[in-house]
Amino acid sequence: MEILSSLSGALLYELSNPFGLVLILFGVVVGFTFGATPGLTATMGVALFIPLTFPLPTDLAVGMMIALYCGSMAGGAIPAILLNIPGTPSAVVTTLDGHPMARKGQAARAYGWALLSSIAGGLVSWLALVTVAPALARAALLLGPAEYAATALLGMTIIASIVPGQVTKGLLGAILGIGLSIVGLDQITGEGRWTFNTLALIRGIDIMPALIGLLVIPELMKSLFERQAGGRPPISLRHMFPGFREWCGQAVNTVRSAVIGTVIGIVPALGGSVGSLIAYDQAKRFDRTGAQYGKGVPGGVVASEAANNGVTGGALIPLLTLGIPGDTVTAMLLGGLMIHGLQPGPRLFEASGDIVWGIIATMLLANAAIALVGVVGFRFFVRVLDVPRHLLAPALFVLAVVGTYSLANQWFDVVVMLCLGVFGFLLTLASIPVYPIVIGVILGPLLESEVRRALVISGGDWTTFLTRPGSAVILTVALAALILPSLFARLKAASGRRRSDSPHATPEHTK
Amino acid sequence: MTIQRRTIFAAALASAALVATAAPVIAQSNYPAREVRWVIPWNAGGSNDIMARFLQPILEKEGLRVVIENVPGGTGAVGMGQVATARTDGYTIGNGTSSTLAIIAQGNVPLKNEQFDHIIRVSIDPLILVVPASSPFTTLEQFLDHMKANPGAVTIATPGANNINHIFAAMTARGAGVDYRHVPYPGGSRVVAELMGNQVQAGVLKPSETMEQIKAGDLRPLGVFENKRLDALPDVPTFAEKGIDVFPYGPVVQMAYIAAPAGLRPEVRETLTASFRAALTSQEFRDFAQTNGFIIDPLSGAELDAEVTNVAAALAEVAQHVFARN
Repeated sequence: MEILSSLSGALLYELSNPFGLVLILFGVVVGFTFGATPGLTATMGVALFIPLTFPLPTDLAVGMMIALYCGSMAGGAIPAILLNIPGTPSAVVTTLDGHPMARKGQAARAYGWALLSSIAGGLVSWLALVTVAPALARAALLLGPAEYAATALLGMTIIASIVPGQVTKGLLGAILGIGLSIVGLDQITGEGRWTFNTLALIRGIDIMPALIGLLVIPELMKSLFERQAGGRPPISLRHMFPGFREWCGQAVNTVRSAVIGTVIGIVPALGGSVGSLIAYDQAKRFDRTGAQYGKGVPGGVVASEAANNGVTGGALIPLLTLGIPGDTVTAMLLGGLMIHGLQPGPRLFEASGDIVWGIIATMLLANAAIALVGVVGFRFFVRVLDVPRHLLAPALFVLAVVGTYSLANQWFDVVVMLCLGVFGFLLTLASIPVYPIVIGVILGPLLESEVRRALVISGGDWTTFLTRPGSAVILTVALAALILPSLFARLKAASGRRRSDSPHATPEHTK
Repeated sequence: MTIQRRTIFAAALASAALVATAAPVIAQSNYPAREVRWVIPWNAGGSNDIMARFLQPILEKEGLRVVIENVPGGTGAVGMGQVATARTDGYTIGNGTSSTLAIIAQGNVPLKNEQFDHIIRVSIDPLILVVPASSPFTTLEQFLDHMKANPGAVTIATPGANNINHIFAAMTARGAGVDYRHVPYPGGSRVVAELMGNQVQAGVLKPSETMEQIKAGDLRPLGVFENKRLDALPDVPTFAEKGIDVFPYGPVVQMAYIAAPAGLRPEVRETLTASFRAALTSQEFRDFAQTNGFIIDPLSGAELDAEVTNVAAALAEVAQHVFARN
């Protein structure tokens, strides 16, 4: 009851302040823009806006930063669906089904699903934040390097489901990605690896330049080579949102993915992209139409977007209850709180309860603002597709270069991005999937450093991965994820041969 | 009439000459005529970054407009590399830290301290040894006895490797006279999380990273790696009190200071020093330092040069004893 009264008090306060509402809306709009632009990150958005919030009272300033953060996750889906270009690392998985849907002329529908799932994901994690935040945050601390390593491995099993039937190519790609992530200073010993004693390589190959290079550039080049025969199918904005019945079909997927996202968000160290990877993978396995994933079904979009917006609320849980940021964006938010005189830590709720409840109320309002900005904004965003390709591609190319440079203000990142771009394009010509490389780059550093940390702690004893209950469970799930599908397929095939009248012949491995 | 004309002409000439000679003077005293690029060689949201963003508006009041640019990577070496090769016009400055000094001292990066003019010290962060609140050890002696009883099996976590935190972790083990397991993490907040979750047995952290968790009773400080106790933690003994010398190879300290490419004009250097000194000693920043548990000691000029040289020398010495084992 106390929660309800604090919350309703905070909500009423926020609602009674039109200036505050305008700031939240403004924050979400800016967040959308940063999220939707590859190369502009939420971290950068929050960093840029901190000076602007100086003259504001603390609650309004913090509210705007939170709104910006929430908006950025939801914005990433727009270019992912329309252009096959993820605006944020978390939206990589959204491209898998979102863009094929757009190609079928269902861009608006795909975005409708993405928006609904984003908001649902935001709300589920918000509920977790309101109700069980402190307990959850403490429980998450019981996970250590062994569990993180196991989770990274679980995330990698998605490769098997993204490139069905091409396990060797998938594995090679992942290894290549991990190889790229090795360049730079060793996280454990601090020694340079493949740096050739140059400052540029000491920094290593970051996720974002690799992502933009491997995913965005090939897409742009491909679009230039494609003939635009008769234009694309018209996009109807009328059936943007699914009907209630249709949504019910995805309800389980939405909630499961949102919960996965929230849990991944709570764990300090994993980050948003892992959430959507695992949620997509699980959705594909549990969905009866799983074989259609990757060809443009709503389920994939739902899983990715519900999960990566679940991460936003989830990541706020350790930040607000323990003062521990999980990633760079929440670290920046933490900095913002400190600059405004707050002291994030286990006592934040006691010391500045009204501000914390204000943040929680803001999150709810930000989700409402996301709905508004999403619905209204999409009408404008979708116009991007009316721009002729020969104009759009160069414009996006410039954006990719500028964005990559601005990530860390280094031209070398642009060089890396362009090289990987050419490489990625050659791979797509040879129809070798690039996603496994991207996943290797994202998860490689996590896997490597956490495995080594776990081994340092255990004194070099590998059984730590099996004797710790958490990592044993996660590894079992990962193993099951790898083996069970092919086992089931065999069993099915075997029983199908016995009953030769099987009518449900699904074209499973035709990708 | 002619006299008048002549005087006017002369006056015009004189003033023209004056303007001509004054122009460079004005240009010089004009510094800063535009924004100064302040390179933070760490991620946005890190302690250096937050401090810079807090100082930004205060510096603006002092007439120094700065634009903060995060150039992370290579333990600060990448960003400082950009500073080293920037123009020496005073429009590029960066945050040097002990961590970057350490990596330079080991010769792991193509950078030298001589490439920089050291302007002013921003902050000193004392370091402390903390254990989880659920740990059975309440004193430094107990913890060291535990280390002696379990040689090579006690874990001590630090943010990053081959830095001051790492040195003090090694000095703790040296105090116990045994080996230990060093667990480096990508940042202070991860170490706090791992400590609170009992994944590691102790950590070497700044008070600014742990003060809130200490006050809430989630972490317990056992010792201070300083020669005198901290104002913020008056009950926590120093290692020196317990007879353990944590500086056997010379003075090492976790500090951040402003550096510019070597060869600044003296007046530019003075302007920078004065603006930063005013901002660093402002009441706002002192309050910020107080709540976040770091020390302001705005050393500048030759004193700072000497300090940087000493710390770098000690780091180079310590590196051979501590880091080489990797």
